[in-house]
Amino acid sequence: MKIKENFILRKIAGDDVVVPIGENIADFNGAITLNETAALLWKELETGSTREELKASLCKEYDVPEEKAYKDIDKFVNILQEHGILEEE
Amino acid sequence: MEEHLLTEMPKRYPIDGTFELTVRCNLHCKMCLFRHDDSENAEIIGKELTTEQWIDMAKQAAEAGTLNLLITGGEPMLRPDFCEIWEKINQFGFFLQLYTNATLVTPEVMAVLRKYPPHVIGITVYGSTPEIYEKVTGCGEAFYKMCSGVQELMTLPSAIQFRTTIIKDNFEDVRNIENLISEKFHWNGIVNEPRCVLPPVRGGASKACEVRLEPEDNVKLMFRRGIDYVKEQVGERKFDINNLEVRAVPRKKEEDKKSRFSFTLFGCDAGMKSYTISWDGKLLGCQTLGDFQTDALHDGLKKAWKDFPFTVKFPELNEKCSNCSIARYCETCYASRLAETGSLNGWPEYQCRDAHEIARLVNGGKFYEKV
Repeated sequence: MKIKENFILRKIAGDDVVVPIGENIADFNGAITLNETAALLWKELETGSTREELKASLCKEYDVPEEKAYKDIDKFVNILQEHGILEEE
Repeated sequence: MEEHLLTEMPKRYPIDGTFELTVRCNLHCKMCLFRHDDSENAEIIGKELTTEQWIDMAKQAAEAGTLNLLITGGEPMLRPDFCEIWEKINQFGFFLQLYTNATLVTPEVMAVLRKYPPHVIGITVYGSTPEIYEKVTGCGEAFYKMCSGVQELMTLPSAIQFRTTIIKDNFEDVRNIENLISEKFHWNGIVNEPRCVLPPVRGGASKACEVRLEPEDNVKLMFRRGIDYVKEQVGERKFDINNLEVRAVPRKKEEDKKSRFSFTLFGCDAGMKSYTISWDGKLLGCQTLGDFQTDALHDGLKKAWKDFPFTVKFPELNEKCSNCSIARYCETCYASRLAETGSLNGWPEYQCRDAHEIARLVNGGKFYEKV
């Protein structure tokens, strides 16, 4: 899975904010604010990542059981898919 | 009164930026705040930031944490490098807003805007006919160019806002302007108008004071939509504007806003959350107020933003405004006081008359305190 082109992750007043640019504004003309975990997953997904790789990154960074990590990843990936932000590699 | 001294500068974030790409314009609007006399254009061109300098300024703005960036002028599309600047600054990830008079929308401009559509486009419309355009902007032909420019811009996925400025020359045309926008351009929002037309600022050369509405007409313009509604309800025959009772009812949002405590430099977001980079690379609190500035071109945007509050010094406010009993109806701020009187603490007669007219209407026409 990979984040589509023309979504830019920005640091604004301490928050991680995603700004759509280019043709993306036709479908999504708003901002997405990410929490710390989501920002970590986003950065992984910018270069492309599998569910297993995301789980490994999350478990490496945070003391979290695998099952909980998968649950958080699936939830986040679902939101991204619903908004058409992800593409399959 | 108990005095408190701050031990450190409150947190300031440069979230909202404005890039004034140029103060030059292809139109010659009689009420323009910023356009200089044409004889200065050669000198201005020499001092305007170059293509690379604007792109680098945008990079610095992104690094400093600017989220919303307004690209404006003058007329930004007048710059031959507009397309290049637009394309490059998009890649830093701003919410981009573009202000334009829509008369210079070429196929090249549309190609780059199609690739990177603005999140919001603010289009100014000055009249509903070439004759009104001739009177207001000095160019009747611009009406047709604006119409075709708007049609093009409206094919983009951008959010559109229409704006206008009403002066004596288009006062009678205000409804026609709205009809043009709703019927020809199929846009049904509220057309944005500046609350008061100010005298030109920062070296601007317009004749705004000669052509702006009398304050009494300006207030009628502000209340126009409400007045139209009342007219509809009571019928034209029974309607008497001098016996109209208007009451000020604060919105809940405004009450909440008042109860929140926040630090400001000027009573607004200028210099705390927002800034302007002028055509020659100075950092200003807002585009209208040029008296306080730091040098973003030479010192970099981050340092210019950091140093800005230390340039701000206010004289004590004049006695008349300090003791005003109707200050709540008054729109004056430091920038408008400076524009009106040449001094940050001057008494702005125009805005004072405007506030008194509101007070008169809000009090059912019975209240009148001599200016």
